Amino acid sequence: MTLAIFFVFAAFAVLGGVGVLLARNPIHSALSLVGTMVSLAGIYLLHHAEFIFAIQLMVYAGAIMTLIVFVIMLLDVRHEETESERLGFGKVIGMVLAGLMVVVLLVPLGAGLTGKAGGMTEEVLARVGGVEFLSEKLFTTYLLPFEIASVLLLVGLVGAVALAKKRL
Amino acid sequence: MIPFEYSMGLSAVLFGLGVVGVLVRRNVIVLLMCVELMLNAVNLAFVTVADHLNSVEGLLYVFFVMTVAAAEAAVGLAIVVSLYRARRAVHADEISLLKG
Repeated sequence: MTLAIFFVFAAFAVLGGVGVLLARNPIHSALSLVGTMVSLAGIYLLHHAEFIFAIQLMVYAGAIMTLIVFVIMLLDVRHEETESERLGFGKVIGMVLAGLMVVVLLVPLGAGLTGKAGGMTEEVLARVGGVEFLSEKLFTTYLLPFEIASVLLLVGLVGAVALAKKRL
Repeated sequence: MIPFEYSMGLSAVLFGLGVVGVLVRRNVIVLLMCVELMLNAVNLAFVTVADHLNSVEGLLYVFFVMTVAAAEAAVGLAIVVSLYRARRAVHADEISLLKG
């Protein structure tokens, strides 16, 4: 059953990804990308990552996509299709190389998964829950990266305003 | 539990689609969306491995990747807006200011 749901979400995710590539109108690309992100959120839930599921929907499908759609509408890019969108020789080479890269990424999967198991075992999940365990780690062991991430967001905010403003 | 290979395969396919998009499309906004697609694919790989190794660190990495993606989207789109204002250009071919 879980596997069937996974395949449905995976099919929608790949369809959305193809839609991002093929859509002539950037708005259609953006909507396809929202579809991919929502499908991925579902897959995160199947992988027992409830917190990531929630922030995937809020941050990615919500905030970032709203920003992108906002800019598309602001710029009014209707004259999307020019001859530069045609499929040239260089683009075909690029697609072949990208396909080869996917094959290279898929080959090591046959070897299986190696690595050290972490502490988020079934009993911990039953005792405290995934979100609580994650936040405990985030605010103790990984506090410094967390603070740096907040500084990064502040820098991003200031940079975006400085770049987009007409005159400072 | 979903087999490890299926999720990682999906992740690789989505990453490949993002790469193809960056190579083929010329609209800068679509390029940014394809970069987001690649970041999402990497997040899926992190979540998959975190699930199979019972690791919380993989999920924390996803959290930080999302932070970087949000900052990148904000700054990238601000650059797109200011480029459009200065040169009426949204195609990557038309933007070659840094070419010597």
